[in-house]
Amino acid sequence: MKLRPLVLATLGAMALVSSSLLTGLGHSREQVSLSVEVGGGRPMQAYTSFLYSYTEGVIEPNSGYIVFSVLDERGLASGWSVVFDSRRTVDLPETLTLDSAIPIAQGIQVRQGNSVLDGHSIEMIGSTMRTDTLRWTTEQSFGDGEYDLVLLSTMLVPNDEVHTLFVTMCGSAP
Amino acid sequence: MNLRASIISLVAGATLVASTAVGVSAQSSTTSSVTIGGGNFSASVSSSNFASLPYSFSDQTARNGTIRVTVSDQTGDAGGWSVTLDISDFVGNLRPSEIIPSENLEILTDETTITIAADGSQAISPANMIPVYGEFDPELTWTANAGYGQGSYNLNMAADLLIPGLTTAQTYTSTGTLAIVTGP
Repeated sequence: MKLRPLVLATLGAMALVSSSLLTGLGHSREQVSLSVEVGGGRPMQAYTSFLYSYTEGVIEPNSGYIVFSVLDERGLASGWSVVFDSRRTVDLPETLTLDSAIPIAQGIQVRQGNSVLDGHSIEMIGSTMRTDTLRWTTEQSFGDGEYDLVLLSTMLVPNDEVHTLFVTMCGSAP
Repeated sequence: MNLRASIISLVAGATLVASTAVGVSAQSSTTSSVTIGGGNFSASVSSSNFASLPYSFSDQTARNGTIRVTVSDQTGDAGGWSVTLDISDFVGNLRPSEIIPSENLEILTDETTITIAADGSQAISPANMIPVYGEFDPELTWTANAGYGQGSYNLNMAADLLIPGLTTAQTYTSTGTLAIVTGP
């Protein structure tokens, strides 16, 4: 008769203590924030260069390489698209024909940045006579870095004349 | 009826007075005491952000982040205490799906100091007020053994954060949660 109430009273006291501790823990939490800002980089750039053999200052009428380069250090990983159209951007468009036979995996070289090229795509757009337009696109999450797209191309220079080719690229980025 | 009741009441009152007088005269000593009431136990945390960094293709380190944990034990029972600090992943404000893992945070233990935050605190005992740093969860456990840590103290920590190359340009923020594990 007396033992049972004593046991019950003891259990009740233990339950009360546990409850108080848990409540104390709940009230003891405090939070703070800690931040770091990664600033945006410079605007995107696209440019070209040529790798051709020269003989006495004259470009040989044979095959060489044209290199399209893109530098994206905006820090957004939002993808981009550049277009090369020799009919509009080369002062002697008839001198240049792009060779579309090079696979992307061989054609793109990563100088720095994201080495994953799965999100890159290259579309060759040809006129009825030859391939003269190229669109190079990267999906979102790709294209942060500096890349070269090396394509075999044929440059025909008439009458052994020396020409300076001015090439521009049109780029767009979201 | 009323007169009789008054007489009875008067007699009873006289008896009570007499009884009290007898009690006082029977005591030969007296006791006095003072109660020192227990105070509160509290803990808080504050921080200052890392220095900003430019976007980079390569890994870089954000420096000069600071975290301060303050514990105030005014309970007076010398029972010791223990607090933990959890730091979450750093989440991007523009793209919340992009994070910098909390594992990239490094507490610079060589630069960590414990200081007294309020006058009158018990002297700091480095051997009995020990911060332990973990790599994951929690990042910090700070314990004062029984008999120590009575007062207010700061644990001042400096931290570096590794920013992986190609980390998207935005602001990344983590949440540090301080909790009392054991103590008064």
